[in-house]
Amino acid sequence: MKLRALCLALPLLLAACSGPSFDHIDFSDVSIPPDFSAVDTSAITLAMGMAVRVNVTAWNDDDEEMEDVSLLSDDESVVGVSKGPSERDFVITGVSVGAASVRVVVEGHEVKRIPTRIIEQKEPKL
Amino acid sequence: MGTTNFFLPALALMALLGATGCDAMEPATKSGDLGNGRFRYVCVNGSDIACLGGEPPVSFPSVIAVGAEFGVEYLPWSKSTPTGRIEPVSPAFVTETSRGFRVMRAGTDGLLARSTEDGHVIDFTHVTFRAPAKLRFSSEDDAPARKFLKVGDEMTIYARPVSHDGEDLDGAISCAWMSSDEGVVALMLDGETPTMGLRAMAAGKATISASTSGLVSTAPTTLEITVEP
Repeated sequence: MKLRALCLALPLLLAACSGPSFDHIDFSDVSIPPDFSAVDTSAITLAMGMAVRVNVTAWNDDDEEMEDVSLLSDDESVVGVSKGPSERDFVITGVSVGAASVRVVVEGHEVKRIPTRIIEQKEPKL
Repeated sequence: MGTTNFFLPALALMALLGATGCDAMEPATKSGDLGNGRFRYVCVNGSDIACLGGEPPVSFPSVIAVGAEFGVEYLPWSKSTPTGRIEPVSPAFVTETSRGFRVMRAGTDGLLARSTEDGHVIDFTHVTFRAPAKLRFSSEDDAPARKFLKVGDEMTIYARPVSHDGEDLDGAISCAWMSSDEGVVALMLDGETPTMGLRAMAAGKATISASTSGLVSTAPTTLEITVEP
């Protein structure tokens, strides 16, 4: 009986000890390139050849900023992601037309994948 | 009172120039989008329209010709910022060469300045490329090329690539030149530069033609020259 009660209480105890967990991310200071771009935390669309800077902040469910945020590309031949000049700055680039994802990694864990499309430029071809 | 009104703005201007070190006036540069430095245009050789006559470019070209070569350097504002290695965003528009970059197709491409220390992007800018629709002949001072020469006259002409919208395009292009009658107008320079020296040899008419590989139209641009005795 005691063993059964302990088993039932264990998950609750573990949850109470694990602390706050990831809640969401924000993008700020998003630069505006000369051709099309629509960059937010739910989807990214960028014209090929464009570079956009974003500043990324991750928040936990206690509404506190989380440390160690990274953006990574799952296909560098379509979308490039590089660390920017300042902390939490990243530069997202449209390398070639196609679809890929930008992975959001917070404190070593992948917490989100942002679907990303790289499209042709709207400018005339000539 | 009048003297004070004159000197205060002058002192403010001097302080501003001192603070910027006059870098803001440096020719052929444009500020990076992230504000950490400026990108400087570099002619890869004397065939760049931006550097004709051996002069450095006065401003960063607004549009560069498809098929042309060009160079870019990154100059950080702060000495503590590492130097940047330039890398194009999309190889569809620009590829790297031993001297700089070659334009592959029309459009706009980002140029990233990456830190030589850790590879992080320090800054970036975007550069626009257009296919040359035709070549425009001009003299050294950009006036239209002369169509009448006397025997013994010499003239230097330039073939400048022009877009569909009539905009002059920069970048180092290679040009193939031909004279329909070398006995009337002789070509004086070897090589495939956009600059050509002409010499009027004898009375008559000759057609000078020039073409470059990136042209939208395959027809060469021509100039008919009449040589008078």
